[in-house]
Amino acid sequence: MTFPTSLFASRTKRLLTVLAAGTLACSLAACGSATAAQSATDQTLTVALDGTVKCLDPWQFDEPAVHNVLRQVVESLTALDTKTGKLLPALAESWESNADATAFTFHLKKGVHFSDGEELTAEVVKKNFDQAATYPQGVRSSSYFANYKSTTVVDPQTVTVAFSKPNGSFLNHTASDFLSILSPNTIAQSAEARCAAGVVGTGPYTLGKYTPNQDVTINARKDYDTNPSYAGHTGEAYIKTIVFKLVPESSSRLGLLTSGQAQVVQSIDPQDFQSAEGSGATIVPVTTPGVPLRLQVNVKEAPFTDQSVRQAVSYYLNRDEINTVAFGGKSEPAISLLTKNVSGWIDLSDELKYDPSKADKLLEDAGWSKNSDGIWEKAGKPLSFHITKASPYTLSQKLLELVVQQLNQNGLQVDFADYTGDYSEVTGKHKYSILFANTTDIDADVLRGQVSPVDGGNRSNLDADDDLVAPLSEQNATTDDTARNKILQDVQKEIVERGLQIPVAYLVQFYGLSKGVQGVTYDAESRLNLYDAKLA
Amino acid sequence: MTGYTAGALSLKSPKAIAAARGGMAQYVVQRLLQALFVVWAAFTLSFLLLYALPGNAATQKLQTSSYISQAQYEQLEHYYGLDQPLLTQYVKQLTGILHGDLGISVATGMPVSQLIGNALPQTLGLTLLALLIAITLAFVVSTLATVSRFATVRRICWALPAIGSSIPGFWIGLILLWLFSFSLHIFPGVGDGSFAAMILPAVTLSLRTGSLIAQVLTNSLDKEWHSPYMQTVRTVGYGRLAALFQQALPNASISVMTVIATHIGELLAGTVVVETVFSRNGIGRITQVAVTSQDMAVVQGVVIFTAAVYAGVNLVVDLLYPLVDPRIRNSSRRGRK
Repeated sequence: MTFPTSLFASRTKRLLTVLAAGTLACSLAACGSATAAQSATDQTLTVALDGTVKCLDPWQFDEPAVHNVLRQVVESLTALDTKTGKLLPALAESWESNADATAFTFHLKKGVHFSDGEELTAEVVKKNFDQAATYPQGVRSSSYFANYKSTTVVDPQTVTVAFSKPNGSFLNHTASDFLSILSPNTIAQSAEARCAAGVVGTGPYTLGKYTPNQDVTINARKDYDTNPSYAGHTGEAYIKTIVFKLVPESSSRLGLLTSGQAQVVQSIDPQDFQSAEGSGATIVPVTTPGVPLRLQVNVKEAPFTDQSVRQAVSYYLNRDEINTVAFGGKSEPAISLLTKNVSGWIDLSDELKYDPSKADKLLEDAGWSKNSDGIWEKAGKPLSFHITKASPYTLSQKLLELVVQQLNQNGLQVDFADYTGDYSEVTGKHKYSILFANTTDIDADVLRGQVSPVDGGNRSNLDADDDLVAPLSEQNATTDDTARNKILQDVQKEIVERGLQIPVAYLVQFYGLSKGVQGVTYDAESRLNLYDAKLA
Repeated sequence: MTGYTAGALSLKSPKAIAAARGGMAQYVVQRLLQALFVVWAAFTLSFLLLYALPGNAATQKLQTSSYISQAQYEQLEHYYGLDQPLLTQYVKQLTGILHGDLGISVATGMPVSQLIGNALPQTLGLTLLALLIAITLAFVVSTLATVSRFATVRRICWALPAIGSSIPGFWIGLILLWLFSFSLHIFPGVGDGSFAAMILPAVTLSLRTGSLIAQVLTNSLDKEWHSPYMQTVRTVGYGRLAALFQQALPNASISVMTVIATHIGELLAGTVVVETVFSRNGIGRITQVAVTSQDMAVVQGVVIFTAAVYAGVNLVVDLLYPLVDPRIRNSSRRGRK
């Protein structure tokens, strides 16, 4: 449920300003000192999450809140360095693949245990992958295991995963929370039991008390023994207990942060940045990897059969203004089709620059002219279209309002509304002119999944013999990074130049950290990683 | 009043009393059947409504995921029995419910009875506390509005209920949160199972119901207070307060019973907003989440539960009426003749 927060936002702000001084004085004096006196491991951290945690299984649900909790409980074979895009060891110490990307061998770390005492072995990984490949409830796993043949136990610490067709993206996907490795006892349970009672992993925390729609508590494991290479320390996590509060109201999340009732908050609304920072908190923008929030254009629908119109729409978008207005300037304008934390991205700032006069020229050359109302028209028909909103992102409404405003100002008649009904039918039958969506993925193969008319979702409604089909498949058939990135960069350029996918903004999660919280990091999928977290 | 009616009843012949009891039994059975019908109708209507909505629990679970193949989607639909014809699903759910099985929530994997059972104590505590606050507030405001010696106090108390019932609950909730939790640090800002965390949401929830009770009570108390019989009561020696508490208030309270009964449902509905604003688990929050995720079994479970509570409370009130008000008892007997 959403409430018209803007109605009372100003009131709330006034209240805040009046009372901020008192709050601050309190937090500086007595209120904060209690935690400082305690030993590090006795500390409790309170995290306020946006949304619901309906299910305690990272394989089954997409919601960021679910993964923010479970990322502390489960681990994956690998991890991705968000800065370099390099794959790092986690549960697997090392790995290799064959040249045509059909076989991947992982050497597991020795002496790693699940919190229920089970040991991590090749047999356990095989059980996980065999189930994940065909798991009906898995939101991502069966897609990541496309053309799965088998997993073979080579020795107790070595497995080989084989595919019948190349699957180069599999390696990066082993870092995903969607492919986290679960205890054999969890694997043996029904999907319902896993959801309700929670999964068992190798992570630094175990699931404790869970009250649906209210809170989830996790407790640090004394016997934690993965000690991943990317972490800042080894052994037990610093903070003993973490309570995740599930807080759907954004003004409540802000209040919890400013009043010190929560130290980490997911999704701070940009209109609340000033209030949060006024209380001494820090806003951390974390870009979700994958394809940004974008307009996916159906090229078989008028007026988008005309490439000039698609290009003009892109040039009319002022992405600088979008960042300033929608994100309070805390993100950056979108200049690429893959976010900068996905290996293989390319800077397309020239193609994605704001250039209304170029857009005007494109439309004029294509036979469009402005009528007396200032609306572009051709053969008596105005340039108008509808955008179908299909992004669950909290700020997508605001972003689309801006997009529509910018396009309307330039003589295009545009409106938007949420998609209705079965999403697979909307996309499968191309029941849209433009689909506004975002796709989170840590691997560039997401482009094939979105664009390819042959082995992907074909969101732009291309023909099966389109030029893009071959390179989109080829990039997934090689494990040579240099060769793969070259193909990917050409593909991104072509998609943007043809106006098939028009990036609008990067999807950013704004986390709020109260003063004194240290060591909070974020995994490749922009989820919280609280293993190194400390309260000063 | 009570003394008089008790005397009147004792004057009846044994035959008349037996006849009255027979009529009572018939009345109870009739009301019970009506209550059952209400529950069934609520179940059926909500089933049809949910079915008419585009999408289902499986599509909601997958949302806008582009990683699901059509085959996997169909597999999931089949797993949850969502591919069966409407009538089959309806009959299956209804027979399940008759056997006490509310089914399993697709979204959370929990049995619906467990989900509701876990949330019930929190919501029950919250609504009871809210009701208590509402009734207390209503009685205080109504009494002051009627008998205060100060005209200004009377005027303010006459106006308060109208204001209270027109302020949106979530707005009051957010203001209370900011003031008493985030600024003054007196109460926790989110649900944590403690009594302290229940106070702000209970106050928020009580305002509307309290205002409605106060509106009715003020009117009827005013009527009673200015009735000619109050003169008699005062002249036989009752003091001002005794006349108020022993005569006027009890008589005026009958109308309040109806208001409370009809607003129990509204209190439960109010928890949808209050539990969301105060981040509490409860029947309201479960409903909200279940509706947005089209979690049929959960919505149906909540609907049946709420309808049963509503019908149950109304049944109890209907049965209590004849006991406290002789006019209703007499009219039901007259109707039978």
